[in-house]
Amino acid sequence: MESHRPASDNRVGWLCSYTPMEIPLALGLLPTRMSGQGRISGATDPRIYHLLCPYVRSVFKAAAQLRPERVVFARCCDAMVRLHDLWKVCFGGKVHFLDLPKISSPEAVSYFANVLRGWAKELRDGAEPEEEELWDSITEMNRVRAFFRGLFSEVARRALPYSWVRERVRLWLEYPTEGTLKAIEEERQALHFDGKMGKGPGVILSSTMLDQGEIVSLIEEAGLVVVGDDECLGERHFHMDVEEGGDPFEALAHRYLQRWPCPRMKGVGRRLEELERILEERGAAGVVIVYLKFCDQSSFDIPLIQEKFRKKGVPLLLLENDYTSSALGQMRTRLEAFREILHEGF
Amino acid sequence: MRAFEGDGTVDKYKTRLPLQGWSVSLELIMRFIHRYQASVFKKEGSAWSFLFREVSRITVDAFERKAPVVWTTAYVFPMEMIWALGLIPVDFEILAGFLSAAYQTGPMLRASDRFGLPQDTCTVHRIAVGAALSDQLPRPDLIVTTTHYCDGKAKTNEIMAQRYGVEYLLVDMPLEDTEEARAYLKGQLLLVFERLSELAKIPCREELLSEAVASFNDMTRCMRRANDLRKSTPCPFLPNNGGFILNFVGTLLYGSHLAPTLYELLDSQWRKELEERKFPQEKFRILWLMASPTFQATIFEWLEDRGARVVMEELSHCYWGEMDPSRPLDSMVDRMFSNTFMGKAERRARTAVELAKSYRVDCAIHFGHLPCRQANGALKLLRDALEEEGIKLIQLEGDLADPTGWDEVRVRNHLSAHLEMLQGEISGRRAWARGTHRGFENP
Repeated sequence: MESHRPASDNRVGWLCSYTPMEIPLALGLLPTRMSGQGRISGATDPRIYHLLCPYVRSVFKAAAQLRPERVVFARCCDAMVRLHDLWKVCFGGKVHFLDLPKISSPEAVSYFANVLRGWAKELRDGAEPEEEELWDSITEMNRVRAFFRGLFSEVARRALPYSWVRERVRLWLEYPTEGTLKAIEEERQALHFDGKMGKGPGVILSSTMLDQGEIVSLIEEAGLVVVGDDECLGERHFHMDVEEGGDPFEALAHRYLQRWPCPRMKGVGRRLEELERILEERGAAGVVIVYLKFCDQSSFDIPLIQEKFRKKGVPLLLLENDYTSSALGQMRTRLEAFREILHEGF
Repeated sequence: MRAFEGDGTVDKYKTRLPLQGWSVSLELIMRFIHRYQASVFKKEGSAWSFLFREVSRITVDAFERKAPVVWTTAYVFPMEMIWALGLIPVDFEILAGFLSAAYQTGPMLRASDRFGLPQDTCTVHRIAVGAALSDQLPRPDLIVTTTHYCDGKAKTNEIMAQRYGVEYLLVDMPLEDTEEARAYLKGQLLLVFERLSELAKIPCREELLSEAVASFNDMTRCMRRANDLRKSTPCPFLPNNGGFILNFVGTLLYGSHLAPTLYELLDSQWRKELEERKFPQEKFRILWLMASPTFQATIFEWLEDRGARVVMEELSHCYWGEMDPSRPLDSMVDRMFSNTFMGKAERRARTAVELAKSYRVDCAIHFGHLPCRQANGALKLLRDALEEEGIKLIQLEGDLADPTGWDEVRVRNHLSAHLEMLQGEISGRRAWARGTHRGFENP
């Protein structure tokens, strides 16, 4: 759990990228992403099923030591729903649940808007939040999204290393927005990455939860240059702004259900289109998929992604992430071999 | 504890299957069952025989494309819609079970592996994908399923829709039962019904569903009667966990005129056999939670030999109330929200306790299909709820469809130890009751 946060009770722990941070921010609460330190070590906690995804298990394990008083779970996958059930029994506290639709029809948007309205009331102990406060936080989050989209666009033209941007995203998730964005901007202006990025083949990184900076480093150390990603806390997280005007809850629900989808949403076609778009726009030579072990949502998309890119003649590397360090050596070898394949133009 | 290896016990339960070692197409299996079900099941006129005759006929009809074919998930989708419109339902999870029962999973799993589906996903879905890739399944005209129960089901259907190039409708089942959630679900069901009506080339009218709903109510009454018989001692049963299989495969008939007949047959068959005292007295009454192997696992014969009888399965529980034929869609919404497997685990745990009490079980066995995250993720809550009521939960882990990793000896040893302890507890309780215990005063 994020140890840098003050141990105050205004934190709201969140896990899924589909959680609208705008709502707790509007209510003066501090959204805190729970990462479980991105690693599983030691004995498996017998309270949680050992074949649930390692992200969920790592968060559960870390929560036994330190956790925010309030946590919000979204209906993003089976593992997350079960984590919610266990959390209530094992840790208690104020536990919220967002009934997140898997489709993005207008009816689903209206339903989700109602769910969000209910959540905001729960957070404010039954009182309706002020619209003005919500619009302020929506504007603020749109600004954050635009800022990070700017950084990712520099990644796309090889002006910034992907690992640097991902680390800054992590910092933003840990520290208050205002000071963090300013510090990141100052740091970026002081750095000149042009020329240091190498001329390695460009790749697109596709994953769900990739909390392991070391895997991103391995990709770069192997001589590959990540020029775009399809990852929960990567470009997908910052895709599309909330349209300002009308009912704020409808606007939020619309943005979250219409954005670049994660594998949990119905319609793998849209995800494939976005992947294809960035691959072509950025002239990437291949795709690296880092798939989360036991994540059913992303597992079922893998053959379809492979099929799509195989037909286009785009090389693809599949790596399995089980949140342990035991596979890192093997990953390095495979990444280096993949770099050679891309170099030789297979 | 008994040793099983080398004493001939294992051999006793070994069954030679005619299809083992042969490669047979699903279509051939279904045609064979349909044609020779009387010889296969040896009980002409029984509920079991009736079920497999009808399910194989429906599947053969789907292969022959006698009407538009709709792929669906029979245990969650309101099947009345499909039957009312004269469409043919196909559930690939049930067909995967048939392939597993006929020992045909190997080629399907290999096809799924070649396709690139990770091996840690659900075997039932991998078998279905492999079967689709191997052209083993009847082609769909439309695919419709729901989001509840598990993620893999919806995702597999997405692959199937891509594979066959057909429309895929996903009913997004909300987990919170609110007024808005009900309206949202009803709106989706109406859209699905409109689309199914178009496929059937029948004008969409809700009244069309009334007859199917009435038939569903008839089935419910018969099913409840049959389930109530299982509360008696001795408890009637179908061999090889047949109760589970019958109730699971039987979902394909829900809403059709066949479903009431199925449960009437089961009810009358059990009544007759109870009168004839065909069921021996059981020593242990067991509640079976979650899945059951679809291949020939002889563990059930072994349990029966030790007087341990499955008296109820979680998935055989009739959790819904009477439906209103004049408000079919609203009634379907009610039924879907009353599903005890839907959503949060507390509800499932509460239901397991209620079942354990009303069927007076001595213990519960949870068969955890290894890749099933939603069921196994709730185990702690289930265990706590049952143990709070003094009911032991025995955990079995395995794969419900792939027999290659099934170790009968290990499973028997595991169960044997639990049954011995259970026997000790039961004897102890009786001794307390009689005051003949040793060592302590009877309080």
